[in-house]
Amino acid sequence: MLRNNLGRFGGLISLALVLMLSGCGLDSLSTMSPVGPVGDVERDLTIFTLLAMLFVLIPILVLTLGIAWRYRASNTNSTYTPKWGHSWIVEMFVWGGPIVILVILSVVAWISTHDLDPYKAIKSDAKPVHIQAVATQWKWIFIYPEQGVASVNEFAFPVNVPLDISLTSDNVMNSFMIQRMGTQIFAMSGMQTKLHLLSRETGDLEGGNYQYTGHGFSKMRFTAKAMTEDNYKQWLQKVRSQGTPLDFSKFKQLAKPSEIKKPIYYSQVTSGLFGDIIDQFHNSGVAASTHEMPGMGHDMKSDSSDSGHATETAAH
Amino acid sequence: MDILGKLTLQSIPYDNPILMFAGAIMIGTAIAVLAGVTYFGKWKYLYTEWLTTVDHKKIGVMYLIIAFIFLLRGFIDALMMRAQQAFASGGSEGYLPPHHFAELFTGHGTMMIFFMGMPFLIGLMNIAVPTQIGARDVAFPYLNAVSLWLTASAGMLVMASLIIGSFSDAGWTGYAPYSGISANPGVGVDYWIWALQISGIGTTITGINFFVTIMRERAPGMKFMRMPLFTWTTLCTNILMVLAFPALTVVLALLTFDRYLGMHFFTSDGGGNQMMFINMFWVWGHPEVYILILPAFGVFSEVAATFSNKRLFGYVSMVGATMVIALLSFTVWVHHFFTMAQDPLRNSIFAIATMVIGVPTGVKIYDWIFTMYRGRVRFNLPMLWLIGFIITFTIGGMTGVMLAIPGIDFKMHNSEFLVAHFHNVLIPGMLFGLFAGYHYWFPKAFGFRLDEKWGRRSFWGWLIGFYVAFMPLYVLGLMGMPRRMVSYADPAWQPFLIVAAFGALIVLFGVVSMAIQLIVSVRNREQLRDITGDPWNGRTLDWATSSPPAHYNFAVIPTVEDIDAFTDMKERGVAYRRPDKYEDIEMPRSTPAALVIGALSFFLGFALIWHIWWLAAVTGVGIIVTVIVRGCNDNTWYTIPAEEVERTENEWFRQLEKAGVV
Ligand code: HEM
Ligand SMILES: [Cu+2]
Repeated sequence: MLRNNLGRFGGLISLALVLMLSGCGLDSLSTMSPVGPVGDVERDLTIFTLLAMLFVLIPILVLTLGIAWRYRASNTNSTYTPKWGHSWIVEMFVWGGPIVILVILSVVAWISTHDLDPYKAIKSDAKPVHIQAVATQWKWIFIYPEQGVASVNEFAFPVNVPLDISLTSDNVMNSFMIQRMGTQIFAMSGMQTKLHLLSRETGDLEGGNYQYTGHGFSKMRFTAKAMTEDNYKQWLQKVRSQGTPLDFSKFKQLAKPSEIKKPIYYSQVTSGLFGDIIDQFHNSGVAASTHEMPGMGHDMKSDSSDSGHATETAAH
Repeated sequence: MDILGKLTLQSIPYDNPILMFAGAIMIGTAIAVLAGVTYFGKWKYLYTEWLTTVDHKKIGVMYLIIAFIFLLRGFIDALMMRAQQAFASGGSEGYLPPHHFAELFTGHGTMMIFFMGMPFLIGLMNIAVPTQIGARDVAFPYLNAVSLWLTASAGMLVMASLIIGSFSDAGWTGYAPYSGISANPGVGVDYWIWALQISGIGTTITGINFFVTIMRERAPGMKFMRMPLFTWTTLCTNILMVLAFPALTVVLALLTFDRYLGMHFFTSDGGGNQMMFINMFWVWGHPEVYILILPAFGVFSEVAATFSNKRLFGYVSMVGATMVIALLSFTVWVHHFFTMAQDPLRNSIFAIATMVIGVPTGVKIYDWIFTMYRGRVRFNLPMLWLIGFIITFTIGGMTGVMLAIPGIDFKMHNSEFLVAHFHNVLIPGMLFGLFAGYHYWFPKAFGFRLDEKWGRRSFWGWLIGFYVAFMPLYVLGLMGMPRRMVSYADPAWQPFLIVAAFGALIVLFGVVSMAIQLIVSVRNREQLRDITGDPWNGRTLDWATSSPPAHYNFAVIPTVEDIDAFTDMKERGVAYRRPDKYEDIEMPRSTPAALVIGALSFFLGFALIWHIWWLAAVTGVGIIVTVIVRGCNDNTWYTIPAEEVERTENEWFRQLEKAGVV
């Protein structure tokens, strides 16, 4: 519901802002030219907040410069009240103004945060594509559990089909984002996080790691290829035909610190590999799902085994 | 060579010409200073008057020296990063290897916050607060010196890392598990840990010291609601220091256990929890940003009233707002990791809590503006810093509110937008305030004013340079550029980074102007002499003393009857009253104990970093022994006889008469 209201409002004002930013234009700002519903809300939210804050900023600019100049010491015509230090009217206005803006923005923040919950599936008639993203030093590995294939630093998906992405890391903390699709999320070792995205448009979307992870961090970028259904099928075909098998020991080989220039493809991925990558950090014998995460409580309809958002449960 | 722990000749980075060059400059400067002191025969003076002093005014000055040294070092690091990113585009790798670049952003952030910001604000507190509340010194003068030397020794560790081993590459936040032993086996993170740990202990002691000072040492009549605003913000800052720093101490200690003893608090395996590191770090980290900013807010309140020749507007609101900010600063830490997959309920609550802080901050801004309203505004340099601050900081606050909304932070987190935002609040909010305070209290500390012309040049350099250097980063953030990148493929980013580098050069002009300002002022000190002790027509008690104040600050402790105590005294004609008879004054004695503790802490830290266990044991025991020996010394006070007080005061009153004030 917020989506629509903000959307209508945002449509109008983004027009104004496009004019303002005419030099660069929103198109060149990848995080402001979304290709899907998540990015849309985030763009509108950004513009809405920016404008709301301009209501604060501009009066302050005008007042500061105006008052400082008017009451400069050399202007002896202006009123001078050296003992004046209190006025209920002004106090009401200086506390009241910010509180009004706070209330408005709080409502917007509350609704939009719930709307944008990365764990929430995107409504669509299409069956979602499942992808398991694994951060290693310094590559992204994308596993397609249902298709049994995997690829490195590149992954493809059909447009208008929701993506259901599970993330983890083979070592340190990483952060995953595709700018034009929206929403960044951490990928952490021994744990699983989740992210739901969708793209309406075809194209090569740039993505990358946003959390510093050492030497090759700057090269840890990937391409998310949004394709038509047919092209996607062909891409899967290509991966199958060019790929080599991937099991846990080959994965550990691949995960060793390195940077790669060209994408790598794998066919015949061992089933449960993603779970094994998570489980490598948990002592054998201890059921992974008993690792409780503190303070992250979340009512997850889809996953009953753990109350946390970032779950340590292996994906099944 | 077990006796040296992990330390070998290979620990010195011979192969890195930049580091060797920097090290040579550092050692060269140190040798030049030592040689100069020897040549001019100043060792005794230096030792008795400065190194062993417990006088808050001199301790304040030494804190400022530390701050300026690290401002320079942090700024050079910034220039190097700017140069790297301006060139390392589309296939070019620039001139810095990734590891060195990582040490630069880690060192820059760490130094700017712990060794520039903290010493600067603690230095101003030392110079101004005791005189502002009409006290002769802080509550615990010897502990004050201990804090200073712990800070200095921690700073020395950071300096040492330049040429012995390397500094951390894990960012100033040092997130685990990247900072853990398996991902980061070198000594870099250990340098970071021990430097923060040692300076953190110093800061905690300072917090206790000034808290007690303000609670117990105020002049008669100075009720809470008559305290000057700088004293108020210092009080709140010190409460934050005492309450927040233990969180940092603990999180660093647990990381130390992981690294040194193979434990698993924050590791990926063994039941460790990396998310706990981030939580604990920011439980300290968010209050820390208010520790940095509140004292500057206090400076601005003093400056606004003084240079508008008018009472501060909304004193009660200002005090209330400061307290609300201090309290709420403990309730918002999750906004540093909205992207860690908490549920939306949690994220929304912390988002709203964060925005609530915007309210008291907004109130303060309006109150400063209304302080100028119907005043007589003098555009001295501190006033320029204030106006530059209000405008620039409001922009930073605006982007802060944007980042407080999870849906926006989801795409701006860890991007250059964030880098732009925190510089946009820290540079005007903290640094401009500290610069204003530096110019404002310099005559109090040294007895002569700073040159205004070069001060103005410096102001414009910093202000314009800031906009040119950081506004492009907002755009880069919106273009999706992550922070901490040593090189990047997207050529569209490069023009903005070149502009940003150019902006840093404009800031360099500001930095150089500030150095010239100091030199020019020292040379012209006779013309700039502050004869009366009240160069700005001040409103608070700090201006009621001579400049610099006598060792004992006040021969007679003043009685306070108004918020603007000194203005009130001047108006009632009771300022500069001489008593019928002077009395003996008890003052704390100088002691080398603090210096010894500081020096031993440096070697203790060094030993722990390099696993030189025997040295750690020796210095650790040495510290304990020093503390005990000093504790057993009952002869820690001495008396300034009434005649000497009278002589000193007469001297000042002669000056006041000459200036026609009395
Ligand atoms: C005008 C002078 C300054 C310039 C040109 C400058 C420049 C930079 C640059 C280029 C970075 C790295 C950005 C990146 O990660 O891509 C950075 C990071 C940082 N700066 Fe500054 N800076 C300046 C002043 C300051 C000041 C005064 C402070 C604090 C009081 C500060 C605190 C930080 C912090 C905390 C970081 C983050 C370090 C990290 O990533 O771990 N900077 N700065
Ligand atoms: Cu914060």
